[in-house]
Parts: sequence; C-alpha cells; structure tokens
Amino acid sequence: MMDGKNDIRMSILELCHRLGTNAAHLGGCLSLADIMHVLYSEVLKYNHNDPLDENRDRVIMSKGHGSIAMYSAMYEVGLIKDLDCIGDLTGKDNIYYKQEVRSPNNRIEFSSGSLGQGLAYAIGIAWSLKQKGNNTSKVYVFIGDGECGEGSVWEAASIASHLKLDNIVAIVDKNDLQIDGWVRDINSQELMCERWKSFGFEVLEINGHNPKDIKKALTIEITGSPKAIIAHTVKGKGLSFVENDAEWHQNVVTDDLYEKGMLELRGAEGL
Amino acid sequence: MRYTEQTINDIHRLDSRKAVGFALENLYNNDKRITCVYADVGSRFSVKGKMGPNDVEIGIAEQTLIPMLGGMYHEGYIPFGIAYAPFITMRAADQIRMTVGEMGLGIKLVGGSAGLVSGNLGAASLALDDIAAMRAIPNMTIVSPSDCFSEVKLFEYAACHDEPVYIRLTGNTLDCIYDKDIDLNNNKSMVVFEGGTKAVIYSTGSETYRAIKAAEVLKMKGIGVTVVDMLFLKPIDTSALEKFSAINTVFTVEEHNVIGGLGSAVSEYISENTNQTLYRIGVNDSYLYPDSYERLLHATCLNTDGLVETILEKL
Repeated sequence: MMDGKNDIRMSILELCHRLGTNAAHLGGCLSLADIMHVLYSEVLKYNHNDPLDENRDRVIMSKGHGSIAMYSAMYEVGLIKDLDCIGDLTGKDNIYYKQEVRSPNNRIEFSSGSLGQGLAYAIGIAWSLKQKGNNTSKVYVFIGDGECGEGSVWEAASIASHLKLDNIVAIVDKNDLQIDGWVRDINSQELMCERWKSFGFEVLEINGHNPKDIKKALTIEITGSPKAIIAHTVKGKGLSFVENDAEWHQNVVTDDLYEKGMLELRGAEGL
Repeated sequence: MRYTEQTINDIHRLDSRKAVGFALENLYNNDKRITCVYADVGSRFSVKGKMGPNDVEIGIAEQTLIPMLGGMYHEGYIPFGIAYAPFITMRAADQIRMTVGEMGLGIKLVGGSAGLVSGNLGAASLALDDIAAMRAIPNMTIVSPSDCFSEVKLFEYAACHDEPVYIRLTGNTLDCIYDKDIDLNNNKSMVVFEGGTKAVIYSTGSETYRAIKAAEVLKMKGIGVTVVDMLFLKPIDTSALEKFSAINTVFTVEEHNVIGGLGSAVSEYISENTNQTLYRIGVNDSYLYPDSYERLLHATCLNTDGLVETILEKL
C-alpha cells in the first residue's frame, strides 16, 4: 500500500544504484521516504529562487545516511532540477554526496557523517532564528534510532528544551535496525517516546509511512518546548528484498537488483 | 580598536580569565553579531551578562557547545565558545573535526586554564595535548596570548577574521609584556628580548615571561639569547623562524607535551629548511600527579630557574 508515493522511492533507488560498488544506505533512505515526501511537498517553507531566504525552514540530516532520501524529495519538488546533476555522488566537483556535505547555496545546511551532532547544530540555528526575530522558520532535524545511542543526542536534547527552542522539530526515524542488527538487541531504545518526553520535548508518535499522520504531526504547532516526532518505520520500506534486513543498512545495488527493484516499485504503482 | 596607555595598564590588572569578559564585552559593543556560549564558566571568565541577550549558558556540555557555535555561524553570527581547555578541545574533538575541519565554519574556541595552571586538580584538568589535537585539524588557527593585553588583541583578531580560531589561555595572573599597542595583522610573533645570537628561544603563552626572565639571567652570565613570543601556533610564523635561521641553537618553551605542540611545529620547519639544532622544553610525554602550579613548573623545568639550567646544559 504505497498510496501513490513511489516516485521518491524510484529516485532513491536510482541514486543508490549510481553509487555502484561504493554501496548505498538504501534501507535507511527508504524508511525516511514517506516523511521526506510529505515534508518537502506539503510542509516545508522554501524559496525556489533564493536558497538562502531568511524565512526558509532549515533541514538538518543528522542521520547522514538519509541524505539520498532528502535529495530525492528535493528533486520531486524541483529544488534539484535533474538527477543527472547528482552524478555518482562522489568527487570534489560534486555537490551531493551519500552523506551530505554542507553547501548553503545548494540548500545543504550541514555536513553529516559523524552521528549525534545534528541536534546540537540545530540548537545554534534555532537560537539564532529567535535572536533575529524570525519566529516562523522551523528547524527539522532527522535522527536515527541507532544514532540515539550517541550520548551527545541527549546532551543536546536537554539543552534544546532548557532553552525552550520550540522552533526545533526532531524526527526520529525509528526503523529498529542498525548495522549490527535489531536496535532492541544492541542498546534498546524501546522507551523512545518516554525518553524524549523526559528531556522536555513534546512528543508525537506516528506511523512514519502514513502521509496523513506525518503531515498532522509535522504541522501541529507547539509552543514553549521543542517537538519530537517518533516515526515508526520499516527499514527498506517498499522493496521486498530490502525490508527489515540489516545487510541493507549499506549495500551494493547491482544492476540486477536495480531492475528488480524498479519493477516492484512500478508494479506497486500499477504502471 | 585603538588602546590608550591607560587602557592597556587597566587590562594588565586583569588576569587571563577576567580578560575574556573584558575582551568580549568590547567586541560585542562594537558588533552585535558577536555571541558567546559557555559551559558552566560564565562567572569564572566574567562573561555572564556582559553581552546583552547574546550570551548563552549551556552548562557542562562541550559536545553540544561546538556544533551549536556552528549553527550560530551558519545564521550569520560570530560565535565564541568558552570552556576549560582540556574539555573544549579533547572532549569535543570530533565535533571540532566536523565543524571546523570538515565544514570550515569560523567559530572561535576559548580554552581556559590550558597548560599546568590547574595542576592541583590533577592530570584530568591539565591541557597538555590541546595544541597537538587542534594542530591536526585543517582550517584551524591557534593563538596563544602571553599577557592580558595580547589576549585582548587576539580576541579582536579572532572576531575580525572569518576563520576558525582556538584561543589557548595559559597561566592565571600574567605579568605585562606589551605595554604599548601591537599590530597582529602584520606580526604573528614578537621579538620580546634581544640579548644576542648564542641561541634563539621560541616561547608561547605564559612561558614567554619566564623565558624573558631566563634570558635576563643568562645575559648577566654573559650569554646572549633572543626570545620570540609565538602568539600564533598555527599557522606558525615562518618569517620569524626564517629570520633567526642563522642562529645555530634553538629552544622551544611551552606548557604542553613536547610532542605535537610548539616544539613540533618549529621542528617541522627546521627539518625542512635549516641546519639548526633544536631542543624542546616542555612536558616530557607524561601525565603529572596533582600538585601546585609552581611545583609543576619546577618539576618540568618550565620555571625561570629550570629554563636557565636546561639552556646552560645544552649550550
């Protein structure tokens, strides 16, 4: 049941295939696909002509593995004109990499790859926005559930709520898997909602593949405290050979798997 | 900014911590883009309440402090972060690697109580590896004031240059070395004692005053040496190193491990460019037991007597 939202998954698969033997974070991008789609196409404020528009919302991909999902959503709404300009996501002349590299003129606000730092960076942005009198822009931060093993996530969470930064929206992609297997078997994050609540966040728990849920959670206005959306997702959602398989945290999309995946996605679309 | 002799005198009555509040208050009054985030050191460094709405306390959280400064820079501010030196550098080294090294954001890190000054608290509180760690991070500028006035000037330098800067603060009360205004845009180091060419001493931070005192003692013994205050540790001032490249014997003096700090930076230059002999004076790759600042300086030969003795032994 894809609800007609498979275009973004096709873009994700396309970009992941381009990485070739460099391997791609396909699982963690597919778990984010629906949230990214709804965020960019229905919620996010941006200016098509000015990437640095002061009134834009900021997106911080703390879980850098989700960057390709973000580019795919940007492509859907025309913020990236052509997937070809993304090339193979490597090399010094590129703009887009499999883990984002900061390039504000191209709407990449942060460099990720070292986990547990995006929320702290978002605090600096959120504080600054308020200081500048910008009370409308939001800072969306994407965090993985495996990433929540980093203590720095919780250090930052504590400070975000202490500073009452209600312009921060932390989105936890709770797909329950990390490289070594199930999160619950490695360093259980099972009380995820309670954890964020206890750090002073207003917490919303949703099905991260249900567009209505996603939109509602993203748009509910919270004042006085930052918001955390705990999104239950499936790692690899939408592709039978990727779903719930830790091997697909990062793996090679061969030509055969690419063809197979595209067939599945087109089939689900009824194409 | 221009400083009158009276103001310079007033600054010299401060200590290395209080000078932080003085410097930042002045900078903020001139430029409202200056912000300051501190990790439970706001009162110790006299910054609390000095910058209107632009100073933020975040408690003991250096790993949050660094990316937070990055976010502020991203939004157009000139952010300074203050914490104790071992924690702002080593505790948050990965955050610095990303924010400064990878993203190249012009944030300013202030590391208080670097070197041996917090010796009575034990090895955990000593920063003897911070220069080494920060030197290995691309884009980073490292400065190390030797008295309160050079400290104020280096804060000004940091605020006016769009680059990441680590300001390494050593010592506590600092004796006056510069009683007149200095120009740091053209000078990254200063000749602070011209005694002769028997040896050249490159010193940094609170060791510079002791190096001058040692040079005075040596002069009385008929041995003429020159002392250069290395206010910038990265990029190292190669023009100063070149200027004295004809002097055969070189000493470096620092409150830091002899590995990775000023001694290493000078050694890197000398090994590629000159035929000089270098002796590095500092902490010999060890952690130290808790003891007073004075006794630790004595134990590491970094007090004036120790410097004189070591230099005489090598000459």
